[in-house]
Amino acid sequence: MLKDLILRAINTLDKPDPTEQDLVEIENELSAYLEAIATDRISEPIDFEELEHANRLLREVRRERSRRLAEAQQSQQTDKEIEKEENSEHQQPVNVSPDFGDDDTYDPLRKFLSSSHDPEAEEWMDSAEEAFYAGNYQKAIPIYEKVLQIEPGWARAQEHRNEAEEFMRTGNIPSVALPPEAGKAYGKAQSAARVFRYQTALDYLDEAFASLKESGINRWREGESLRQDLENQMQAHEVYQEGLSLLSQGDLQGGLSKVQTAASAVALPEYVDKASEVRDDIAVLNEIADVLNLSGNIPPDKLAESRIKLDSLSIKYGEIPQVSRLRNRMDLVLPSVTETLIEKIQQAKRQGDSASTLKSAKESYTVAIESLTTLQTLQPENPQMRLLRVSIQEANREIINLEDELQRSNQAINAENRFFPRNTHLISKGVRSRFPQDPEVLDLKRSLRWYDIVLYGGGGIAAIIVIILLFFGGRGIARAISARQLALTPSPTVTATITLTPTITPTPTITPTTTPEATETPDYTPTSTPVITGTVLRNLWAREGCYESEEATGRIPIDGVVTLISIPERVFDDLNRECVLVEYRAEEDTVIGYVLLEDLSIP
Amino acid sequence: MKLTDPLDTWLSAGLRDFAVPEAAGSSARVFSLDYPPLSGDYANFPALKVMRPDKTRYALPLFENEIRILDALQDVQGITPTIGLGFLKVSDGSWPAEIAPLTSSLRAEASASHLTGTADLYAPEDIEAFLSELQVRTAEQWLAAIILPRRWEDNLYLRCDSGYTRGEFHRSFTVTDALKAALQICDIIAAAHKKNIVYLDHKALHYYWNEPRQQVFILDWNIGRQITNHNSEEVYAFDVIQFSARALHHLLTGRQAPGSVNVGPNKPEDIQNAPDEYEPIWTYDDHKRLTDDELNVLGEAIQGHYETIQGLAQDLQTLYNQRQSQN
Repeated sequence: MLKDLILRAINTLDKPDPTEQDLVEIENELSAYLEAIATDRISEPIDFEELEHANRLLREVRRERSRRLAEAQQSQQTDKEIEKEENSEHQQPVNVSPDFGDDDTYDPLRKFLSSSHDPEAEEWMDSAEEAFYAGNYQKAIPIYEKVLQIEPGWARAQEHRNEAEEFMRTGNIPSVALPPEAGKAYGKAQSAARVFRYQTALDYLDEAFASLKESGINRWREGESLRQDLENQMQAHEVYQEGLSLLSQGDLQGGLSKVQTAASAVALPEYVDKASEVRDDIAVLNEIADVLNLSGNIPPDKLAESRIKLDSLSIKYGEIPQVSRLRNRMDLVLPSVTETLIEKIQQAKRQGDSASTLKSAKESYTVAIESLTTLQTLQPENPQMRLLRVSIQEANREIINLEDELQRSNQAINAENRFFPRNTHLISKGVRSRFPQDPEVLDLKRSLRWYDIVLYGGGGIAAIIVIILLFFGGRGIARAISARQLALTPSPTVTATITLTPTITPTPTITPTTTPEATETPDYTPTSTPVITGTVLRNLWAREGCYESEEATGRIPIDGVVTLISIPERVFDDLNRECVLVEYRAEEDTVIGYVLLEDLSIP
Repeated sequence: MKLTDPLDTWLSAGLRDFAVPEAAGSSARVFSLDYPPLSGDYANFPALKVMRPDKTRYALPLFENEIRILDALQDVQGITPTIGLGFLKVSDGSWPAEIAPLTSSLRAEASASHLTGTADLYAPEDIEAFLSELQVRTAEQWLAAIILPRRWEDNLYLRCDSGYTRGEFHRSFTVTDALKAALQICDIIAAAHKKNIVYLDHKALHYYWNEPRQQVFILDWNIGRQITNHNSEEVYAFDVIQFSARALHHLLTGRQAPGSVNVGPNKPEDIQNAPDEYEPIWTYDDHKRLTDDELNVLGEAIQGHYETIQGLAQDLQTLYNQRQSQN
């Protein structure tokens, strides 16, 4: 269908001189079809290219018709002009193809492109708009009125006239509607005001007002408001500067009062923030004074905090009287506070050293370290501080090591044989000996009990086995030797030496004769057994028997060296204490008697 | 073959034609070409752009430039591609004056159909052969010509310029349409930048709106430049500013940014000496037509905040999406 229309349009246009009727027909058909496509009333798929050709050809057809109509209109106009001015040969050029009126329904741009205004009104309108957009409302208003006299229904002219009148009457002229020069100056004034160059801003504002006056505008509310604002700003700025000056002189209250006045006048963030800052500083000074005037002992941490704040304020304001007063007072109270603090540190250190659990030791050392920090703040040059710090740090380091030991032991015990956790035992040796009562150490020790059982039990059993082995081995060896000796008896050489034994026999015969001198027998004994000596551990009595119920034979002083005399049987007193027979040779006499074995030290 | 109606003295919007003095006076004249091998099945006569006989020296480098650029951009959607090249030598008749053919008699007066002479035509792929002869032929009084598809669509200058619409172009060219067209122009410029080409001559007069395809077409690349130094970011940024101040500002507000190069027969040096920053000045109509966001983007664009066309396109897409969501 569309293709047919396209071909018909081409044929029509191809004719040397197509009739108006042909052109109208094909134009109507094409426009009706294209409108139906545009409004989705045709469902058949349309090729883009065909659609483009149809649009293009519709325009060609219309163009041909427009040319003919424009030609006819121009001829008529020329005729009229000829009638009016017979000698005029001037032909007005055609700038726009003619409008076809209300039947031209398809053209989507017709509504805005068609000009239905009176040419004279249009001319005036152009001038009015020019003046309006130049901000020259005084000039624009009467021109708009001329436009409206010719065309009272021209809405845009009415609207702009009203706007211009409103601007003139109320002075409410937005910055974008200002005359260009005034707008520029106003922009500069605003920029200058933003960077606190108030005087420059005022100068620019005056410039803007001057431009407005040239354009016949005497009221401009936004500008007046800015002027008022600038003046306020300037006054507030002055007061603020006075406030800063007072602050630098140390008059905090006076300075705060001025700054606060400036802030309440213009509410600039800078002023508000400064007022708040000074207020806070005054509050801090009062707080420090409260701390320094505390009755009784001043807590060292509060004093340290106050000192930091005071130093900070001193840097900020210099040595103003309020700061100096507080510093003097602080210097007075400082020695007693530091002394107390050092005592506290030492006490905490001692508590840590004697703590029975890791936790309490650690807590004590932490208290000591914190107190040291406070001391550092209060009196950095204190002579005791360095020693204290070193000792506390060492102790704390040891606690950390022990904690680490305990932690590693707990980890190791899970990885080791539960009956023989040798590594755990070795790792935890230090912590077990330092904190035997610590709950965690106790847990660990419980876990290690099998180790002791296995170690000592096993050792005991091994020792018994060794003893048994030695016993039986010794007996075996002895028997073997005996058997060997027996086996060796027939040897003539050895027999000969044994034969000599009977030759001694006469000696016993002497024994009876010397019976009264039997006391010499002991002299003989030492030759066969070693002499055993001991040292008496206390002053004591040698007795005739064992021990206290028997009669004393002599006194032996402490450190006296006695000789043990062999007795056939071991003797014990009533309390089952063993006694030995000793001889003590004093300078004048010899004491022989029984003493308790426990009173002797035998090397 | 026959040269017929002039195409450079008038423009159309909807079903009406307008004489446009701004289009006249350039380095070339443009006529409709009646040559059946290039007219297709539906009498779609192409346009022939021929250098002005009295300005050949000025026109020659511009023609050569345009031919090379069009060759490089042959596949880019939205450009008006070369469909032929040629040399013309007029033996009889004189070139018609710049007259808009808005009446039958003016049409006859403006037509070049009475010219006679010789034409040597080249296919677009014979560009090197054509260019190799360009200097010599021009010296021998031949006039170089480029054959292009004729742009029959609505010219965006007419659709948006406040001089034609009396500030009421919101009825014919909505902000949504303007943003859509601007985005498509950005795509074309981005494609050109990718091939190291800058357009520079951004004026609404050079853009056409194809209603059936909802597509912008752009023509006249003779002031454009091929950039040989790959690190010339500032040249691309300058192209973005020129687009913003002249075309985008025009599409959105009905007028170019104050201080930008006016619509007319612009010379390369006019563009090169143009400012690289423009102060945003908004009127009541602007405030009525555009949102604050749109004013902000446009203001930043003409002040040179966008260094790449992609950056500007991204913000325009956001504005377009906002408009779409309001509909």
